[in-house]
Amino acid sequence: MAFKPSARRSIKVESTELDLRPIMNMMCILIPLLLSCSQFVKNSWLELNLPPVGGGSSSSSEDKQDKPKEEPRKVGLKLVITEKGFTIAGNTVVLSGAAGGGPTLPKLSDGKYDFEGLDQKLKDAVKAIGGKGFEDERVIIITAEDVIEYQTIVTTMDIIGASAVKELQDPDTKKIVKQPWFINIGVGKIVL
Amino acid sequence: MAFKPSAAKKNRGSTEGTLNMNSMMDILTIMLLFLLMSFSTEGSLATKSDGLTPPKVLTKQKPKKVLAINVSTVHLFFKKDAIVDVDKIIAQKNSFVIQELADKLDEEASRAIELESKFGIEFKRELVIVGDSRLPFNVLLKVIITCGRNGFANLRLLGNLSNKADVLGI
Repeated sequence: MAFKPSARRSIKVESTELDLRPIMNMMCILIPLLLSCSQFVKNSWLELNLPPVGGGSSSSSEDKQDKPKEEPRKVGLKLVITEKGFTIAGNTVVLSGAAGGGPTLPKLSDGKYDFEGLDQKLKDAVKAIGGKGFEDERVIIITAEDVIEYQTIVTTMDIIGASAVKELQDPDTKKIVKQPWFINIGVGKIVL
Repeated sequence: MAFKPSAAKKNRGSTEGTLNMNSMMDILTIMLLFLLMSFSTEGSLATKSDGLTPPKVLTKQKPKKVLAINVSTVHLFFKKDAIVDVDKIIAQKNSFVIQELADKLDEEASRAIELESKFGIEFKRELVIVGDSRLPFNVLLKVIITCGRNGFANLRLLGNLSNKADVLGI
């Protein structure tokens, strides 16, 4: 009896490539979905350091007992934001506006706050108080009326931070480093 | 003379042209992973929402991932849970401390102090306030005072980085 040839000889070797089309389809849906959900914005933050609870004095109680210390000179710079505009004040003085009374910088005719004027006024204030021995020359407190929007507060803080700089020498590299003049921007409420 | 049939034509197999999608798959996988990663790292800091549009800021300072308090126009959120209504905060006249937030912050501070003592993880007292740009100062001040009184003195205000013309409208 003749030998029957094996049936395996006629079996064709089929290519077993993975079908990637369903995964591709899924990807093509997922990526536009994620892109449409995302917001292309860069975030940034502003620092707001609060004074430690119980006052900010660094001197110990022993020092206070031993020698009566001279009362430090304080300028107490404040910026008040009202619906009428900006008012800049110190412990003893309130900067009046061009018209004599009212806020230091009234709102512009289009109803916007005068941020450019504020920048200039702060530069002038820094010139006036800088290097005069005030303990809190680099501190400013912002206060506002209850209804003032958060955006206005943040923009004001930005303007304050960029208004003036202090040049300091790095002790290690001996290079001049520029630092914002107002390193301590506080937010508070004036209680009358 | 008989014409010799073409060997090339006769033996030509029906070859099917298939697109090689491996490289495309690689690109798409990388893109997908990148998008998912960026969502997971920045999701807790800023979540897109109609009632929570952070203010525009000019100062360029890259934020880190720290404990965040989200204050929308409707609710105050602590770790994604709405704990108090903004209307209630506005109506509160007798105190600057938001009690619901104070309790949560107190818990968080105690936990952080415990972790610091047990495992040496430094409690930096950092907190970021993510507020809607339309929030009134009254609410912002109460949130700041509450945070300060409950052990979180290193506060930051989160905003969307913008240019001067856009912020000042000039």
